[in-house]
Amino acid sequence: MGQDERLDAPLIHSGEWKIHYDYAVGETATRFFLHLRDEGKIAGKKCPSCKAVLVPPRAYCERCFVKTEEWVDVGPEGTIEAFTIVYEPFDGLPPPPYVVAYVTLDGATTAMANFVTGLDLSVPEVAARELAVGKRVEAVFSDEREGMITDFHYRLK
Amino acid sequence: MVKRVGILGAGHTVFAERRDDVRLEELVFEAASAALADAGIVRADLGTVVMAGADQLDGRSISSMMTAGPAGAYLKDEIRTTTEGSYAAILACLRILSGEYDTALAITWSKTSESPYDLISSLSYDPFYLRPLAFNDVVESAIVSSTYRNLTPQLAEAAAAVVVKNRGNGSLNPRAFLRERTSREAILVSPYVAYPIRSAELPRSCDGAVALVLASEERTLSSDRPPVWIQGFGWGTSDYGYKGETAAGLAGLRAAAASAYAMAGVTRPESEIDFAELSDATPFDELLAYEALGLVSQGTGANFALEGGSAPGGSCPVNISGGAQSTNLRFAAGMMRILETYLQLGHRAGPIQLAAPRQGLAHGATSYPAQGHALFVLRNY
Amino acid sequence: MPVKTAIVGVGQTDYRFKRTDVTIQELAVEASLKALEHAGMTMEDIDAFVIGIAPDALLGINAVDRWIGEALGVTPRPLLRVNTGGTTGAAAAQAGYAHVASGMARRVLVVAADKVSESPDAQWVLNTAMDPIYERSVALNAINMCSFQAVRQMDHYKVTERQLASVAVRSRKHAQLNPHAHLRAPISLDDVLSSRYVCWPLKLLDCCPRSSGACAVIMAAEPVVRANHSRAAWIRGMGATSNTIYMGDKMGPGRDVDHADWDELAMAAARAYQQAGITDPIRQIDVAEIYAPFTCTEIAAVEALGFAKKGTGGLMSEQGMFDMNGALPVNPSGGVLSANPISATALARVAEAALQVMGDAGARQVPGAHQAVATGIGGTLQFHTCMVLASDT
Repeated sequence: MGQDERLDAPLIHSGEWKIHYDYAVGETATRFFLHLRDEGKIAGKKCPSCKAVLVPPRAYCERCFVKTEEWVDVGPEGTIEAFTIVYEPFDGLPPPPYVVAYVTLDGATTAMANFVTGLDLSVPEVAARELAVGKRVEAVFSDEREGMITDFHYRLK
Repeated sequence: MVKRVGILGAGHTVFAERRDDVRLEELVFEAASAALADAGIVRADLGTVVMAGADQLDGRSISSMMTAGPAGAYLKDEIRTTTEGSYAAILACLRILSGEYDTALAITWSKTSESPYDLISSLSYDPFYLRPLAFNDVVESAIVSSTYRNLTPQLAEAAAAVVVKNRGNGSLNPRAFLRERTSREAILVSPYVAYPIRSAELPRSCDGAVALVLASEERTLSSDRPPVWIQGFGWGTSDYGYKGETAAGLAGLRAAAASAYAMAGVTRPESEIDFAELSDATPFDELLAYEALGLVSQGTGANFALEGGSAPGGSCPVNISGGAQSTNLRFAAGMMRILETYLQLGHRAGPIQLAAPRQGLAHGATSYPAQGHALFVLRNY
Repeated sequence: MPVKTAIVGVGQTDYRFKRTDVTIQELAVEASLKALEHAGMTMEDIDAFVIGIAPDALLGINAVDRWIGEALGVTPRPLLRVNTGGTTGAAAAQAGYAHVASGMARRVLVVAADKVSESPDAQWVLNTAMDPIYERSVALNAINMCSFQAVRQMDHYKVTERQLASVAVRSRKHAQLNPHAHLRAPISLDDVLSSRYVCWPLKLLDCCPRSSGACAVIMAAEPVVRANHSRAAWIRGMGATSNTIYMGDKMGPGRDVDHADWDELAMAAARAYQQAGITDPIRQIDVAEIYAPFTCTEIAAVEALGFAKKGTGGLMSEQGMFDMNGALPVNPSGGVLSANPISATALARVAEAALQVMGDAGARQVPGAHQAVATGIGGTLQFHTCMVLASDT
């Protein structure tokens, strides 16, 4: 067809994926979320073999490859293991700035992610010093709980 | 000289329309631990984990991130294909034959109760040429089946006969999801979904996971259980979209069969194959496969079904387990075909056990478009 | 005995933000034809195909490998798709190796392609790879998972933001030598240190770009290589190690591996090195192509590969050990910080390592390179691969 200056701007066809999922939470996580919603407490599951208290709870231990059975309440206080302060907006994610941290709740073997609230994030270096690895936090529970991971967040002690 | 791969054990979950009692990862753990227990090995002794999973069906953008742990891959070698469940077995065989690993867990799952299958199927078509024409899995399958219909007027009867046969077989299989017979009449009065495919020819899907433990020839011979071998395998790819491939085509399955038969030394499949577990997402798929696999001569597949050749007691029983018509694991269906073939050859199939099977076929097929076919020749000698 | 296997052809498109002139099919074909030309083959010579595509959602086509296969003219030959997230390209290369080494195929085309610009924001898609039940709603994505690593490196090993920046500066310097690289403009330490925070402590210039492009390699069995090819990149060793998706399991008191470190890569490398007979990596490896999408990840990688003691990778980077004229050049291509076509990124590491040992790396050639290592990273820093390539068997 030869030279065609219209090819300087090739066509773009727009499309959108909208796929609805109904994620089965399963019996283990259901119990975790109901305990969180109704009692305002966080529980993990203990591996009968390596004795790790897995938080959030898993129905099995990936390392020992056995089912977990025993429930253990953990927290509400814990220790920051890692964190970030998000300053960039991303499609579909919350407006920045916000803090996400992994915290090992007292009595747990593993750390669990959630938001950290109650900090002034306007100066990154200042906020980062407040949030160092090893700092103590506590889980703070919402008054209106829905049985979701966001029913609680962390706050510095 | 390519060696062969042995099957040390197999495991599967409970199958149900919805497995809301477990999240996807727990379903995977259920099958992986069952397979390891059946094979008599512990996770620590496993060489590699090969998974097959489909992100959009799983509702997880890289679903193996979540399933690697429960599949047994914690601090182990692991890889994932997204082609179709039975392709996990293909890749596991390749890894064992390349000498990289002595044992492999091949695992796949399907939990489509959580996701809209038909919508995702339509998203498999390119956004420019076919997706705007309302193509999906069933529509393309119907187009291919229609070409066969032109060749054989008795096809509708043969398709119904396949469904009646497979559902009857499934009614006797304790592993099957649907264990109710159906009738020719019930099928032939059901409405068309996409001509010539009727609604009663499309099985209800179920949730479940399936796993095999595969091993090198040496490792298999050291097992206590009488060996079952993957003596040959092959995989091939058919055209993308309908490009005039008639029922006589199925180029991908023919290529898979050529490779698998050559590897296993099968020269006369019509007499050397004792039974087969074939992809039957629709009964037309099963009919087309009889011919492409050389179990019957070209153009006689429908007659073969109508005369009972593929029924229990026929010359080559097909889907004695009930097939996907009875246990529609969607993405994982091909692996289920291998599991049932394996159990038959190990004389562990329970109430549906055949008398003295020596060599069988297991066939996995991807959904459309560009249907991929994996074929395995299993034997117990 | 496995069939000895080598890479005999490499093809890469240029990596750019957008390629609106082609579809994903045409992009994959573009790289494949280059690889065939490099190998002196045609598509008819290929016995089997491996396609590496990471999330379909980035391209908006489910099971997009089926459509790409059409353009490659695959029918009726074998096609297998691999998707392991970031490691996809490297895992596809390992799958390709298994095709040849098992004796099931003599010539295999491995191709990976991505057009990341066609979805508005990759981080949204990557968030949907996280646990939908426990972790997705706390806004995890592929950037902040690396921030968690950097924070722990800074805590455990006193890694500095300046050390992190040195990785970015060197990568861009190297990228100037690579015509395929997406970002080729030089940057200074001050540029990196003064760029805005994206996810503290990672700043904009600590992060990789989003790129479109494709990479293909052709693998062949020893008899084919001996008969037809004067030079080849022999696959001498490889390993892969997976870990849990849950980053928190790598942080608490009971951890086997710390999220700061890449002990999983060390495990994969131990296997690959053992197969290749490598006991002294600094001396025996001439060049490394490391999948490091963020500056902190390269520091973890050089330690895991045995190039620096644990906790000293940042310092070694700052001191120039990994520069083109350093003791062990890392990422002469400019690495992932200079181009990240997600599905193809890990295959590009393998391809670049192959070009180095074939002596075909052009301006970015490390003189006399005989043995190279290529790595891959995927998931929540949970999937690790390592491959050793050399100019002889």
